[in-house]
Amino acid sequence: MNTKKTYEHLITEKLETELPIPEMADAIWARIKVQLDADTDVETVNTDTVISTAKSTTVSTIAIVAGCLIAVVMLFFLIKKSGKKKSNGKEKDHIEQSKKQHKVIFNIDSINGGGGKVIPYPNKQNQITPVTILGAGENGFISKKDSATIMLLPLSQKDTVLDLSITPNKLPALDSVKAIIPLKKPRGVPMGSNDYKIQSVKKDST
Amino acid sequence: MMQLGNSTISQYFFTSLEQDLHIIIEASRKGSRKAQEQLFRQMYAFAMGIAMRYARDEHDAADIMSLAFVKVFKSLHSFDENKGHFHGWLKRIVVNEGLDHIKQRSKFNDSELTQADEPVINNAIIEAMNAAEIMHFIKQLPPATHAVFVLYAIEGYTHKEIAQQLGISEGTSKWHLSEGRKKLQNKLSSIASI
Repeated sequence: MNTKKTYEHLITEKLETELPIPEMADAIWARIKVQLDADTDVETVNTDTVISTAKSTTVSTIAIVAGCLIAVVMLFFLIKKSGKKKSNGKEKDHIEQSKKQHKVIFNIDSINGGGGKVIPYPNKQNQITPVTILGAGENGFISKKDSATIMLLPLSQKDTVLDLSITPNKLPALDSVKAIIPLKKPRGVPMGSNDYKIQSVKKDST
Repeated sequence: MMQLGNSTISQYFFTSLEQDLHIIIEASRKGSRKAQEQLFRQMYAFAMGIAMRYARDEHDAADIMSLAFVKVFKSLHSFDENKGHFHGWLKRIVVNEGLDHIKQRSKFNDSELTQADEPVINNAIIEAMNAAEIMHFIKQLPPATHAVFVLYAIEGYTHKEIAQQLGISEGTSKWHLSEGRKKLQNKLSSIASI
């Protein structure tokens, strides 16, 4: 408990009411203002730094995400491209193999340009997909006459196939076209022209 | 026509001043430099009177004032008008700044008061002196004793509060108060003898 003396009460009263106050308000306020302004600038700078740091963090995050996306897209296309190359290689290999096995070349001109009708596969217009060529002659070549009967049919496992993807208007060179032509077995009894001759029976003049 | 009594008029003006102060404080909180200056100038005499009690001279008082008001404006958001008057809040800040100022100048020794003789000071001597003269004698006390004497004899703090504020024991606070009273008695007695 505070037990002030009587003279201390007197001192307090005098100091509170009579103490002369120096006129330094302007000078003191100038110092306070400078200090407050300096602190405000520091706070502003700190806030700006925080904002810029946040911005840079956001920008860097976006950049990383964008980079990742680009990398993924590029990787996807690379994989796709390499897959295509592989399939092309496989096709080539298959063609080469067919070439070795059959060594049969037919005149593609007879299919397209030789007056024959090319009937495209209904779902894949302008593209010749695996086909079975019917009507080949005995010698293995398709004649102009036969070309008119060529049908482009859907692929079945049993069919001998021609693995070519060619556009009818832009047909590849003849050498590059390979085909397997089933040889038609001769049926029935072989007949010659002599077999149709009507031999006149000579009447005995005698 | 109704006549207003003196107490009613003073109450009206007091309320009006408090309302004005409230508006200035709100504007100062929002960072208005003009409002802060207005608040400083309005509270200058009150705060400077407190700062002078802990300072050796006007320049020391100016240092205490500038540091205290920077703290006031920085922590104005924490001032709760429902918990007390602005004057009390401001006084606490200025006193703390004054004590920090004294602490920089001296260390509080660990002497503890066991028993003290009560000094006798004639009230007539105090009444004959003006505030500046009294303050002059108080400032001649050692800084630590000066601080404890002002806190106890003028501000009205208890030894427990002083001990907490200065980080000393209550016994040390009592010792400093006793020392201050004795030295002041000696000085005032010497004036009286002249």
